[in-house]
Amino acid sequence: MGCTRSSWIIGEICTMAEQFLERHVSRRRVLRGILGASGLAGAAVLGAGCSPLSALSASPAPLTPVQARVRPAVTEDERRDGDIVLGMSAAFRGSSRALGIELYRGAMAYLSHINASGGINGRRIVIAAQNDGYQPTPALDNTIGLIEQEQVFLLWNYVGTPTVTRVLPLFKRYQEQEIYLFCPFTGAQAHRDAPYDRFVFNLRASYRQETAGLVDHLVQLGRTRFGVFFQADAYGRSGWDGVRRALAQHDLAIVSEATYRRGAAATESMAEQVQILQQGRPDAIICIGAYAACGAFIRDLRDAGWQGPIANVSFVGSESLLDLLTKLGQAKGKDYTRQLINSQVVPSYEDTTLSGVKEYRTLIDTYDPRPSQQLLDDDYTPAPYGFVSFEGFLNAKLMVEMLRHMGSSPTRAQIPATMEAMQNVDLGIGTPVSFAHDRHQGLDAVYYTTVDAGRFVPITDWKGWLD
Amino acid sequence: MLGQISIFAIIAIATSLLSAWNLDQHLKREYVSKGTSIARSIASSSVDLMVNSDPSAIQAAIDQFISADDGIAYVVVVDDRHAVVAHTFVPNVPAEIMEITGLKEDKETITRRDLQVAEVGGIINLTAPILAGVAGYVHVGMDHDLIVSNIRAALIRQFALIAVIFGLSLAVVYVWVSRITAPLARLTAAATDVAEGDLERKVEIRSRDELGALARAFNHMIDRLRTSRDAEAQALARESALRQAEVEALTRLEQTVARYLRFVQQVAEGDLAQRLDVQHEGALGQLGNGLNAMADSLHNITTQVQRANANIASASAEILAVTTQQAASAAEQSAALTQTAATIEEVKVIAQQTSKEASVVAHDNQSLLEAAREGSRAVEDTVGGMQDIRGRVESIAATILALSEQTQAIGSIITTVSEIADQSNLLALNAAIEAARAGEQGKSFAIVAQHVRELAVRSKAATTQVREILDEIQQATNAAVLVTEEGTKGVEAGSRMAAQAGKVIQRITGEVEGGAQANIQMAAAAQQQMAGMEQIGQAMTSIQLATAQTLDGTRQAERAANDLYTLAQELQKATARYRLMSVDARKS
Repeated sequence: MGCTRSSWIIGEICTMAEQFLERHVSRRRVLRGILGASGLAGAAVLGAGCSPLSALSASPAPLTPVQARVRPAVTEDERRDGDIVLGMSAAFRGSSRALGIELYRGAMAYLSHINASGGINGRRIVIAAQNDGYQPTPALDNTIGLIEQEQVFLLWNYVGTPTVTRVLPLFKRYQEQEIYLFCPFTGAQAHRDAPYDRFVFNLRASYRQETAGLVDHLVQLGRTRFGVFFQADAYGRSGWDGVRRALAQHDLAIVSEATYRRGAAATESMAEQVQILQQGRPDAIICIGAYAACGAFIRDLRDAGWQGPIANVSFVGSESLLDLLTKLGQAKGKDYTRQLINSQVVPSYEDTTLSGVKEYRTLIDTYDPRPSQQLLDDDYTPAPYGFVSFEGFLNAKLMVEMLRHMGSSPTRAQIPATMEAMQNVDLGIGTPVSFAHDRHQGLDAVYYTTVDAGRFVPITDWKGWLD
Repeated sequence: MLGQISIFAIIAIATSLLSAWNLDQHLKREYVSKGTSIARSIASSSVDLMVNSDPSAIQAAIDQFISADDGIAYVVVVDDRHAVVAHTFVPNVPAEIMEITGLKEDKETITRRDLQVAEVGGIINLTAPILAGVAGYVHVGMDHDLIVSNIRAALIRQFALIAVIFGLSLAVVYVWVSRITAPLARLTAAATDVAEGDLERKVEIRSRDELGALARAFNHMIDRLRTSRDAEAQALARESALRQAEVEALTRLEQTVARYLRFVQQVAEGDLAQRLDVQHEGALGQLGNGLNAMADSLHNITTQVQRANANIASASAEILAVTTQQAASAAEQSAALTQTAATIEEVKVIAQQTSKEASVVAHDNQSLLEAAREGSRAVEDTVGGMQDIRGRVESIAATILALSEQTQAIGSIITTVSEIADQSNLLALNAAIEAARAGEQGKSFAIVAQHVRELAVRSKAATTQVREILDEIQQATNAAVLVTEEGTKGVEAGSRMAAQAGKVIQRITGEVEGGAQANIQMAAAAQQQMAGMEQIGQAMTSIQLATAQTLDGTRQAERAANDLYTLAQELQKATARYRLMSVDARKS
């Protein structure tokens, strides 16, 4: 207090002196010198007890950048003699890119682990990956290139029905070279039926099994009027046919249907499809599509006020769909994730009681693999875990299992006999996997999931699920 | 010509229309046959698929037929119960086409239907049975609008081609025709010229054909015409020369009379410099000489008058010049004086302002000085107050020290009391023992001894309590001594600071006082300056008055000189109208 008062008196004197100086230009400089010196001295003496302002304006500590997570180098670009090369054509770019990328990540997590521990009989397993953007013609070109130029050992992890369906005749063409396709990411019927079934080994259940399961459960819940929203191509038709067949078992038929063009983006409007479907007054809708289009459709369907259950099959890419719906919902302040059923062909990656799930989570955390940057078009942020990458992981386990059975110098000719001899293989998912001459599909199980608290969780109580 | 062009154009348009119709028919037929073959090929290739596979294989097969611009709008496949199993529509099959798929179809051949579909446009629908209709039907839609737009494009191309050919032919015809018509046009122009009387131009055509011969004959005709025209012109010239001589004689007589008349008029107007050129003899010659003599005598008189006039004019001009100069310099002097007076006035005003300012500043200085002195007094008071506080603190310290010493004295007294109590206790104990030994007689003494002992114990306890209290006082006084010492130091620091502030204020006061004195001096000087200025101003005013009087006199003189000059001028002007011969001319 005293300090402030003394400063005030000296300040007053200084002000008066300044006014005096304004009128006496000639003496100005001398006086200013005296007053300046005394003012400073006074301030120094009296200001000793006052807190100095300079202490407050200390420069802030510089921000340290957050350290990026260090990933082990798992790129398999440089091939060596003796590597087992697996050809993969899938969508790494475009509106379905998440499927190709996640399938690759899951498979590569396990293969990196195998390669790091010495490979199989000293051989590394390498993926020769190419982008087809989920379009049939590039898939055809890629496949011919993989067989002729890359001389791959076999083909695997293809993504999509229209792509795989278009490629199928090639297996007949290359019959003498014995080219086989493993674990395509599609549940379509064409490669499960004659004449191409003998060239393809599937792990996952078919769309017929997925759609039949969905229809059966929904019918049990009292739903009788089914609408189908599907992609205008072989994939959509395959799911549509599955729904139709399953409904026929209950003496029911599809009440309304609408298609969309493959490659549709989430920004497109699906209002027309919603209107067509609503004309049939459905009480359940099954979507056979990709996540971008299905997300847009669910948004427009909910915006139109339709509240019933919406089912999607495994190909949709559940995490990508959930991600998209969450974003769309946030933009509009709505919850688009209610009343969703997604059928899956692998168990939940959240079920850590399964040894395979634990292994998957550990390895994907350890290796966090990414496809080569040349394959991708822009920044893609992968999901930590997901059904698609878990399926890729299981595909890789099956592949490694087969290669182990084939000895130190595997040949293509060994493939059918080796695969058809596989019995009760344990992939760590609680269900043994078996193949036979007339059974080229390892798993039949379909798992049903729904969104709870922002995650896909298994449906345990069907009655309680539907409100 | 225009008629020919129109006919040509009509033919071109008709040809285009015909070929457009032709093209339309052709393209339609081609699209229909293309659609037919596609329908047939899908129908035949999907037999196996319909029987063996699921609809996704059929969907994959028909998807391949749908691409950008080949005219196929859609493919729909229905099964034997006319239920759609695959189609290429997004988002669904339009109602018009659903209607067709439900119709009963021919089981052997391909059926064609033309229809309008709301969302697609004009369509040629071709239906082919699969396995004679047992496995179903294939419907292929050909885009009619695409066919129409193709035809339109072809038509536009054709029209453009015909227009270019038409333009080219026009250009060729124009060049060819102009090669014949150009010489004819030249001949026509020459004939027109001849008709209008121009015989100078000839036709320049040197070709050997009929046109050349015609041109040569035409040129010959022009030559003949030119010869006869020249002869006529010569006869006319001779006749006109005779008539010309007569007219000239008459004209000369008239001219001479007119000249004399003009001369007389000039003399009458005062021109005495002219003389008549007498060329004639006889009466006209004499008249001329007489007129010249009259002019000579008039000339002599006028010369003498003018010479006298000139002398007067030059004298008056000189007078005017002198007075004018005088007037100008008087005016200049007056102006200079006015300016000086104004300047002095300004200086006076400035001096006044300076004086006023100086006194204001001196006043301000005084108040500042007062404030500074007040500050100084306040600081002195503060220092005095500080000294006072210091004195009081020091006396408190002395008091506390004295208290401390007295406390210590009490302490030593208490020690003595405590020792006495101890000894009393011991004595009482001994007394009690002795009393016990004395037996019954000592009994009452024993009671006394007991009381004494109790008293000793209680005094001991009391001394201990007093000791504790004294210790506390001692601690308190020690603390008080420390505090007072600190207080003294604080007061000293305060006085030092106040004294420092006092010095600073005193220095300011000194400066301010110096400033004030200077100001007072300045104000006095300004006052003196102002008085001087006032005197100068008065002197200037009297000078100005004298100058103004002089100026007035000069101006009057100037006016008189001017009048004189004007008079001389007028006189000169009056005689000047007589124009005289130059000296040389007169001598001759």
